[in-house]
Amino acid sequence: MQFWVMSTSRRTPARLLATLLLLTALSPIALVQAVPDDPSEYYYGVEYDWSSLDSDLQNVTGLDIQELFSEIMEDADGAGFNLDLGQLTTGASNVYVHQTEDITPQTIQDLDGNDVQVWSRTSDVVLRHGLLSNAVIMTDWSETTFGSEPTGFDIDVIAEAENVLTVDMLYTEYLDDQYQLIGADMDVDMTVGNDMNLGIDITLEGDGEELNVDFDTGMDFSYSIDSQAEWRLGNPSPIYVTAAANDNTRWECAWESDAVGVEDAGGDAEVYDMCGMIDGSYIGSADYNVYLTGLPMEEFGFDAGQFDISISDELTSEGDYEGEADMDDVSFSMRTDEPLEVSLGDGNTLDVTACDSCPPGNPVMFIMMANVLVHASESFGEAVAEDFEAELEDSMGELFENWFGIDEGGDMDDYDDSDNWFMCDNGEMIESWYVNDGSEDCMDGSDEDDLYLRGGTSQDWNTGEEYYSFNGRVDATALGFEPSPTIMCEINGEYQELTIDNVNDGWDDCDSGEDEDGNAGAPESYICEDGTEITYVMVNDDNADCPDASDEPADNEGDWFLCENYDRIPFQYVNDGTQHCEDGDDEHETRQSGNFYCDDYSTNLDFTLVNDGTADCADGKDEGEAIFFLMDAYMNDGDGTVLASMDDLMACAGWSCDVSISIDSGYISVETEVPADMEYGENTMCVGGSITAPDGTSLVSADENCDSTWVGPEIRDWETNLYNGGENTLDVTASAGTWSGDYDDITMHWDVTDADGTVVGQGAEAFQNDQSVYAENIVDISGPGDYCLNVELIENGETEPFDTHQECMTVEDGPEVSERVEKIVGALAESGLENVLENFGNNLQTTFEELDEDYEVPVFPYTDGMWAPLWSNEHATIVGVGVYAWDEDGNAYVIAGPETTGYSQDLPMTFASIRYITGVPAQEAQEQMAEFDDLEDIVDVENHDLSELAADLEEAGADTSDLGLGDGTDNSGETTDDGDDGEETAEDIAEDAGLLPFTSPLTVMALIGLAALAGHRRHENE
Amino acid sequence: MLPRPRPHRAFGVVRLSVTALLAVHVFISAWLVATVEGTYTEGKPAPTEAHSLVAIDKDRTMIDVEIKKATSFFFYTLERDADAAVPVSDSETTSNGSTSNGSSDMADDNEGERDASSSQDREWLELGRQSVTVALVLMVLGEALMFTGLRWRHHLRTLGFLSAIVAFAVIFPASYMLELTGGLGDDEDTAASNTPGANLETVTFVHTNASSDASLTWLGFELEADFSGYDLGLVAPENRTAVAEAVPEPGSKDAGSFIAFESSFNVQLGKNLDSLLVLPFMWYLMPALPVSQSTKGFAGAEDE
Repeated sequence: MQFWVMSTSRRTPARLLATLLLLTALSPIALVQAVPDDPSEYYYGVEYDWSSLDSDLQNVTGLDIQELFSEIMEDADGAGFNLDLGQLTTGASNVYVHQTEDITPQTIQDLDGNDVQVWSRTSDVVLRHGLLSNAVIMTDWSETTFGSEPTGFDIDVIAEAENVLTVDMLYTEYLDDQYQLIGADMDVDMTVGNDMNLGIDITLEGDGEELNVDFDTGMDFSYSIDSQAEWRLGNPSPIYVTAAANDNTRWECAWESDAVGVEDAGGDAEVYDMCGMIDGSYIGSADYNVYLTGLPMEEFGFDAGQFDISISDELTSEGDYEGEADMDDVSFSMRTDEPLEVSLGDGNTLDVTACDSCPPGNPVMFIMMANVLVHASESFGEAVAEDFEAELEDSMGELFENWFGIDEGGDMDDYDDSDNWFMCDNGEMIESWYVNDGSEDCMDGSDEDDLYLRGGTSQDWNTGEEYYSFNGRVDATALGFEPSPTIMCEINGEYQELTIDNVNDGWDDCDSGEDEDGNAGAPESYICEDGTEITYVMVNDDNADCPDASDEPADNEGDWFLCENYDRIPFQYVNDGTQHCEDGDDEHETRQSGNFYCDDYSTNLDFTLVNDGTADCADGKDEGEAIFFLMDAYMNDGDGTVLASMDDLMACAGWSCDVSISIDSGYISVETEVPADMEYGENTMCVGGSITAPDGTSLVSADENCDSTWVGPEIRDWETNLYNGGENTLDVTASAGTWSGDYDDITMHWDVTDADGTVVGQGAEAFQNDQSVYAENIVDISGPGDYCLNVELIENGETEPFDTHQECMTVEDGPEVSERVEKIVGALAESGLENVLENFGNNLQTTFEELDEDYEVPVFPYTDGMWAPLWSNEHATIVGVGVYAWDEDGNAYVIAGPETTGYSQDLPMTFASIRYITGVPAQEAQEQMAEFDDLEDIVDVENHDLSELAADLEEAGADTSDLGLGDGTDNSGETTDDGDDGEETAEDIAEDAGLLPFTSPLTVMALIGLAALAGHRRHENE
Repeated sequence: MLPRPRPHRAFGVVRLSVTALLAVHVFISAWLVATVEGTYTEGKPAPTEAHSLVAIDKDRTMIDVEIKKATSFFFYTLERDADAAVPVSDSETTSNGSTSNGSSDMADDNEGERDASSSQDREWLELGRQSVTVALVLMVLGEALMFTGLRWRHHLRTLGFLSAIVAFAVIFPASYMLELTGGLGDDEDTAASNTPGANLETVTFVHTNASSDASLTWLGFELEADFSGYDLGLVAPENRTAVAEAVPEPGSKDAGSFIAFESSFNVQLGKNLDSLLVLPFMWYLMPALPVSQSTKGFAGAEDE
C-alpha cells in the first residue's frame, strides 16, 4: 500500500488516469482457465560476480573499504607499530530457471489414488554459488631500550574461507483442464559446503628469549540432501486461477474439507485448500573435519611436544518420509499499478505484473521445495540420531546443564525423572508441569483434575500483611457450566477462538479489532450454529437473534437479586424467610425500598409476589434462580496443623461471589483472612477442598495437594562460587537475597574448609534493610587439595540455618608455562606496549570520528524503486525477476532484469553488478553451470590472484615471504584441510628418509661392497 | 661367502666417512615411532576410531591424533557422567572404608610429589636422547680409533657400535615408556586415567573383561589389547550400585552402558635406524690395516 501512494504522488494526472483505466480493464479478468493452446518455454537467469563486492559496497554505502583499511594501518603506524591488512574475495552466484509446458494429456493419481487427467509444466532450476576469500593481518612491534634485550611481537594471521552451494531442482506440477493444481513432483539435490582455515604465526621476544607459535586450525563441513518427492493436494486447487484474477491472494490450508473454497472480495481473495501430503525418499550425507596443528604444548607445561589433532566423521543415511504439506503466510500481492511489458529473450514481449510478495520463481515451487527440504532433512537427522543410539535431547540437556553450571553433586543429585513425568491413566507419559495447567495434555484428559487447589499467600497492599490464599482450577463443565459460542481471529499473533461475550463489547480483543462491529476487517454477518445468518452487530447485544440463541453468550450466572447496598444475592434467597441483604431488602417483611420493579421499569409489584413461584412480570423477572455453588477448602502444614479453612464459600461465574470461577480457564482464587504466619525457609502447605451444589450434592473434590513455599531470602547458587585464584589462593563469592522485600534480621555466614574440615577462611554479611547481600573474598590455602565453601542463612537469634549451600572444588597443580614464556610475558608487561595500544585506540577513535563527520551518503539518482518478481497472468506463474527504479523526472530504469518496454537499461548509476540474462544466453549458461559442482568450476579461481594481495601488502611495507601467498598461480592459500602449511608433522618425521633419501641399507651395503672390491682390485694392481 | 679384500689404507677413510654419514643419517631421522589404533566396537561410542602417531627425533616429540567417526563419541562424552564412581570392590571397601576415600588419599599423596616428579618425568626422554647422542659419538670415535694403534681398538669400535644399537633399541624406547607412564615408582597413569577406555575399570567400569597380547615386530613390538565393560558414567546415579553388583539384564536400559574397545599399541624404531646394521658388513668388506702398518710408533701387531 505504501508503494502505491508513493508512486501515485509522482505521476501526472493523465498518466494516472491511463493507469487506472488499464487496471480497471485488467484486474477482474481471469486470464487462465483452461489448458494453454500452445506450450510455452523460456529461460532466465541472474548472475553476480563477488569480485565487485567492494565497489558495490562503495556505491551503496559510500564507504571505501580499502581506504578504511589504509587509515587503520596509518593509525597503527602513528601509534608506533606496523599493521598491514589485506583481503581478497572472489566468487560467483548464479541461478537459472528454465520453464516448459507439456500440454499433452497425462494421467496421474490424486491423493485418494484416483486417476486424474492433467497437463504439466516444469521448472528446471540450477543454482551455483561459490565464494573464495582470503584475509591477512600482519602486525609487528619491537622496542629496544638501552642495556636490555629487544622486546616485541610479530604476528601474522591468514584466514581462508570457501563456500559452495549447489542446488539442482526439477519441479513438475500437474494441472487439470480448469487450470487447477492437482499436485507436483520434485527432484531436488542440494549440497552446501564450507571450508575455513586459520593460520596464526606468532613470534614473541623479550628478556633475551624468543618464542614462536605457528599453528593452524580450521574446519570443513558439507551437507548434502537428495530427495525425490510427490505432493498431492486434498482437492484441485484454484490458486493459479485466483491469483491471476485478483490483486491480492492469500493461500492457506483448510483444516476441514468444509472450509475448502475461495473467499473473494473486490480484488482480494483467500484460497483455502486441503494442502495434502508430501511423501518421498531421500539420500542425505554430512561430513565434517576439525583440525588443530602446531601447538607447542611443552611451552605451556604439557608433556606432549607439538600436538596435531583432527576430528572427523561422515554420516550418511537414506530412507523415505511422509508428511503434511505446510504453508505459512503465502500470498500473491500484485503491483497492478505498475504494469510491465518485458522481453523473455525469445523475441516476444509479455505483459507481466510485479508480485512483490513472491519469490523470484514459481511460488508454489518454493513452497514445495521448503517442505521437501524440511521433511527430508528432519528424516535424515532422525535416522542419524537413531544410528548413534544416542538420546540427542538427553545429550543436549546434559550440555545445557554443564553450560549453566548445574553440577552433578548439587541440584542434579535431587533430580528424579519420575518427578518430572506424569503417567496418564492410559499409560501415556507427559511432563509433569502440564498437569493441572488448565488444558488436557493426556489423550484421555487424565492430567486435569475436576478440582485442583493449591495454597499460597497474598499481600494486603495497604498493610503489607501476608494472608493465606487458595487458588486453582475447576472443570467448569463438571459444574454444569455451558461454553459460549466462539469466533476465530488472530490474538497475539495466533489464530484462535474468542468467546462471543467479547464480541461487540467495546473492546478490541482480536489483534486487528475485527471482533468489534464497525472496525476495519469486522465481518458484516454472523453465521449462527444452525446456519442462520444475521448481521454482525446483533452478536452479543443481549437479544437472542439466532433461532438457537447462538449469537449470545451462554447464561452461566442465572438470576441475582440486587440489594439496596448493591450486594448481589441469589434470586432464590428472596422471600425465603431468611435475611440475606444487610438491610433486609430481600425479605418483604423487612424491605424498606418498596415494590419490586420489573425489567420494563414501569411495572411494579408488591414485594410479596417476588419469588412466589408465579411469574407476575411480563418478562417473568420476578422469578428466578441464580447459578452458584458452595466451596469448602482447608490448608495444613503437612503435619496436620491447620493453617486456614473456609466453609460454604459461595462460588459462581460472576464477580459477586466469594469465589469467582472463570468459565474459559476454570481459574479460581480466594483469599482468606488468616494472616500467613510462616517462618523463614521452606514452608509446606497441603490443600484440599470440594465444591457442592446449594442443596449439598457433592460435585467435585480436590485431592490433598502439598506444595512448598519459600519465605525470606535464599542463597543465590549462581553467585556463590569458589575459584582457584592461583598462587595458593581461592576467590570466594557468596550471595543471598530475594526479589522483593527488605530484611534486617538475617545474617549470611560463610566459611571455606579443607579436606580435613579445617576452616581456612570465613566471614559474615548481615542484612540491614537489604534485599540482598554479597560477599567477595580471597582466602589463602596451603596448597592443592579439596576445598568446600559452606554458606548458611541464619535468622538473628537463632542457631539453626534456614538455608544452606555447599560448593566444593579440587585445587590442582595446573600446567606451568615454561620459563621462556614467563620471561617474555614479563618483558612485554614491562614494556611500552600498553602505551602503544592505547595510542592506537585513540587514533582509531579519531579516525572513526572523522569518518563519521566526513561521511557522505551517496546521492542516488533514483527516487523510487521496485522489487519485481514478474507474474504473468497469461501463464499464471513467475516468468522472471527484476529490480526497477525511477528518477525524480519520472524516467524509469531496469536496475537488473529483462528488457522492459519504457524502462531504460542505460543507468545513471549501477550499485550492484548483477547480470540478468534471458533466452539463449541463459539456456547456454544453465547447461554449462549444471555440469559444475566444484568451487574451481563455479568460480574463476584464476582471478583469485593471491600474488596481488601479496603485492599490496608488500607495497605497504610488509614481508609476505612466509605467508605462502604464492606467485599468483597458487590459489589455495597457505593452509589445506589437513592444516598442512609446510610444518612437519609426526608422519613427516616418521617417514623422513634422512641423509640418504634414495638409498636403502641394501644399496649402501652394495656400494660398500663395490667400493671394497674396487679398492681390492686397485691394491692388487699396485 | 663373500670374498674379503685385503686391508687397505683407503678403507679407513671410507669406513670413517660412511660411519659418520650413517651416524648423522640416523641422528637426524626419527628415532622412535609409536602408533596407537583404537576402535570402539560396541556401545554408545562405537564406531569411533582413534589413530595416534607419535614420532620422536633428536629434539622433538610430534603427536598426530586423528579421531574418525567422531560424532558418536561426541554424544557419548556429552551423555556420560565423567565423575561417576562407586565402590565396586568389597576388598577396597573394607580396607579403606570407601573407595572414594582411598582414591582421594592416594591422590593427595601424589599431589605432594607432583611438583618434583613432573619435571623429572619430562626428563626421562631427554635422558634417552642424551644417551643416543653419546652412543653415536662413541660409535664414530670407535671408527676413528681404527686409525690409531690402540690395542683394543676393534673391541672399542664394536663397543661403540653396540652402545648405539643398545641406545636406540633399549634405552631410548625404555625412556619413552618411562615418560609415558610417568616414571619409575608411579602406581598409576594419572594422565590416562581420565581417558575413557583406559584405566577406568577400577572406579568407573564394572564387569570388565580385558585381554592383551604382546608380540615382536621388525625393530619393535606390538601390544594388542581388548577391553569391555559397563560404563557407570552411562548409568543413572541411583542404579550404579546395582549395576556394579550384578550384570544388567540384556535389553534393559542399564545394559546400554556396555562398551567394548579394541586397541593396538605398536612401538618401532625409526625406519632409518636399520642403516646402522651396514657397519659390521662394512668392517668385513673393508678390513683395517694391522696396527704396525696403520700407525708407526704404536707397539704390537694386530690382524683383522
